[in-house]
Amino acid sequence: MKKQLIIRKFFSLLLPIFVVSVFSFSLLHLIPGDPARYILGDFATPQQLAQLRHQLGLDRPLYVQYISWMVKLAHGDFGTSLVANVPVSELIKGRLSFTLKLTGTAWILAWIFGISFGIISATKKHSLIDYGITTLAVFFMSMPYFWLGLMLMLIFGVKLGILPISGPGTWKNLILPAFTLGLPQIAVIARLTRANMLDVLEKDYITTAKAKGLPDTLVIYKHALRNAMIPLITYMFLQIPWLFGGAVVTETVFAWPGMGSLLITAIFQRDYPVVQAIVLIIGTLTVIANFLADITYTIIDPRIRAMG
Amino acid sequence: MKKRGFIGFALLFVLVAAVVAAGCIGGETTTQSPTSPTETTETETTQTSAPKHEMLVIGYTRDPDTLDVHKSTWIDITTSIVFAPLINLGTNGEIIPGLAESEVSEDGKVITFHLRKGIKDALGNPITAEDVKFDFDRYKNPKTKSPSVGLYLGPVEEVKVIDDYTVQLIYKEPYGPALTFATMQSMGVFSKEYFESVGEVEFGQHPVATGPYYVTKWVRGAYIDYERNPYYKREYNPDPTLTNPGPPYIENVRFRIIKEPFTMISEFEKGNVHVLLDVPTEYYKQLKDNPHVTMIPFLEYVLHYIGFNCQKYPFNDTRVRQAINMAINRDPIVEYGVDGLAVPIHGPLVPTMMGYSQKMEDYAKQKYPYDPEKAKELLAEAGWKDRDGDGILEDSQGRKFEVEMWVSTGEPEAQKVAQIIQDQLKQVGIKVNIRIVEESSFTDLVSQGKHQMYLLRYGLMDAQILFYMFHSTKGVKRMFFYRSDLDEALEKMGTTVDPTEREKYIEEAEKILTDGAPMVPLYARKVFIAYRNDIVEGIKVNSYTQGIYLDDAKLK
Repeated sequence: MKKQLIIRKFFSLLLPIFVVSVFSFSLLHLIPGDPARYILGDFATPQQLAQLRHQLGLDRPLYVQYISWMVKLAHGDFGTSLVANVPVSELIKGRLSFTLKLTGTAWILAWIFGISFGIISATKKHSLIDYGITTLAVFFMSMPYFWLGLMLMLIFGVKLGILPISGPGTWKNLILPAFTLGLPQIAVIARLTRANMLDVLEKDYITTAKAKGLPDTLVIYKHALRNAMIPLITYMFLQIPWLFGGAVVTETVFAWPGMGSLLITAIFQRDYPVVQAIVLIIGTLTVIANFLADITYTIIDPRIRAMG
Repeated sequence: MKKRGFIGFALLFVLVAAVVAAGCIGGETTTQSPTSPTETTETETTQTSAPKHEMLVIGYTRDPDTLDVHKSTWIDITTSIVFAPLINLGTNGEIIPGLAESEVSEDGKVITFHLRKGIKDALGNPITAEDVKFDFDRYKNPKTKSPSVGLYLGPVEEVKVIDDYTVQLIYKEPYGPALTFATMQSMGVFSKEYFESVGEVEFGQHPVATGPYYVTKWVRGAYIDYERNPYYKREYNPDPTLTNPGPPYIENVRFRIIKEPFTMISEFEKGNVHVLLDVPTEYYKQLKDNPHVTMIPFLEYVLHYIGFNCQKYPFNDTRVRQAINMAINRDPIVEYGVDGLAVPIHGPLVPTMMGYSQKMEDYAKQKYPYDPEKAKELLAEAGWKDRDGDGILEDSQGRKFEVEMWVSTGEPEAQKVAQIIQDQLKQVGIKVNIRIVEESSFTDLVSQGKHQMYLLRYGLMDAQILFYMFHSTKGVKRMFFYRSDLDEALEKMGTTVDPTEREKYIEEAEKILTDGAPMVPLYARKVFIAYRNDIVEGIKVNSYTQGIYLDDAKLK
């Protein structure tokens, strides 16, 4: 029965991915601007523009362009960048690895620090530390990535000079962008952990465990934390779209050569194939993340299994 | 499955997934997790860990689409140090030899290039007339889909090899700016052998040619690495300001691509970036006060102007357009609109454009001095008077002089300038409403003639820009100012190669444009190249190509 459910859920993924593909395709074509104009520059005559549009196949009806894009995609071909004249897969290959490095590291940081601070906050409820963590969490949750990035750069890169300011390089270059992207997530996870821990700590079985005479640390880490983690597992996947979104800004600030900076350039150049490919990849990753969240939740919690 | 066991599994899964995300999928160069402090994720060294000043680092805001000069939509310094042209544009705006000496035929239809002997590309491949032919044939081949070939190569019919060291460009008709554009890197020479051995895509990523440097590595979005060309000789660019007799002194150059100005300036002040190619205006003052920073200004060959729709009421009356030319005071525009970092321009060309004529600049300046009273008189002559005393002019039918001025989102400073213009025109009784139009659709909307007046810029290194801006059928549609005498002058300019004869036609076109006043020329920006004088010395610039020379540069 469980297998059936997972298969059913898997197929239900295809619909959102299809919607994402249609969306990413039509969005750019709807806004004004023209890749032919970008390529040929301001002095191009209407005839030259029309000719290039024809060469690029941009004069065909939108649905024809969409179908031909999908057919190519089915063969694993993202097409060729209109501006760079290089296969899109070639352009993205190098960039995707940088984005994954950044988001992956931010993800790990978010969980390590988020849970630690959450536990501290919960066990020292209403203490000065708890209030401090809460204040900082609210602060970091509400700060835009752009500002956060510039501040971290200014403090650790420029003033203290202990970390590289920008660009790719060694693991040190990853620290500032990863924290920029991770800090708001650390804050969210810390808050979630605290709330869930407090919830669990009031449960009868914790009182029982304490009454048995188990040491506090054992109660907290073995009994309370494990149960408090269950709702958090879903968030592990749900936060992935946020990380990709934040990466676009973070990469630009830190001159990190990921997909985000490529996306921004491509949008300005109206380089349709590149934008479509990136939006599709991020969209698909998001859909998959949601799917995994769904599945893990189903597996963890028997009540949801029954309902599904 | 028991709940507890699953959580353990889930946590393990997180860990594995994270490592996979961060390392395995993530790295082409590594399989280690980037958080591990003992491992590096990239084998190469960076600016921060490299020994001091082994490499010149140039900060750049653009991420090139391709380094293939025939295909690129944007020709800039990232390729001008790679591709040496046949002839050069000197720092005083004169044509000087390069890989070759040029000779124009009597009728202007044939340009002969006499190549130097013993030219080699950076990998040692010999360059002969056959290579030049191969390069230009590839440039004009429609399969190359070059966006720039029509402009730079022009109407070339045939590329003819006379002998190993002589090659001719044979034009369908004489091409006026042929010599100016022959100095562009798009007309640079590379070895046929190298191109064919690596193929087109690889050539666009790692071009090797005859310039002072060649590309060794390009990480898109991050940096481009160059190594000096050991075969480079000074005679390939005999500019009098250069002294280095051989290959450049600096062996390695890196262009770092940084889009965020704050990040760029931080890296520059820390000394990780040594040269800034275009100092962001907002940081000009900050850098000017830094004793370790030397700034070299040059005048951008881009004219910022107000354009009128000359076929649409109320700007279909020449007197109205002339009046506005006298109602605009450029001094406050330059001082407050662009923070003093510009030069006022009165005529249709900028001094750093080839073919610029000081005479015509003076003519325009004399014809339209700043004189609001005279502007009002001229407007009254055209029927515009303040009939109801509200400070805004009305025509004989009582219609108010209220117009819309379009400003592009692409130019933040233009919005400040627009407000000053709005205020100045109010003084003569014209009400201007500013409308901000999105950059990428701006010129499309203007070419449909939907505007009344707009604020924009045009630029090119040659006076040929006038042809593209104003020719009635072969130009773009902007101001809809069409005159047969103007077309004639522009066509003659476009087909005259001899510079002195060409100047006549340029001046003729300029005069018609000044008298007819389809626009108000405003200013040209001063842009700055900045370098760290405690790290590098001997950087030189050329205002006419708007490029920098690294030939004489040395790291300290």
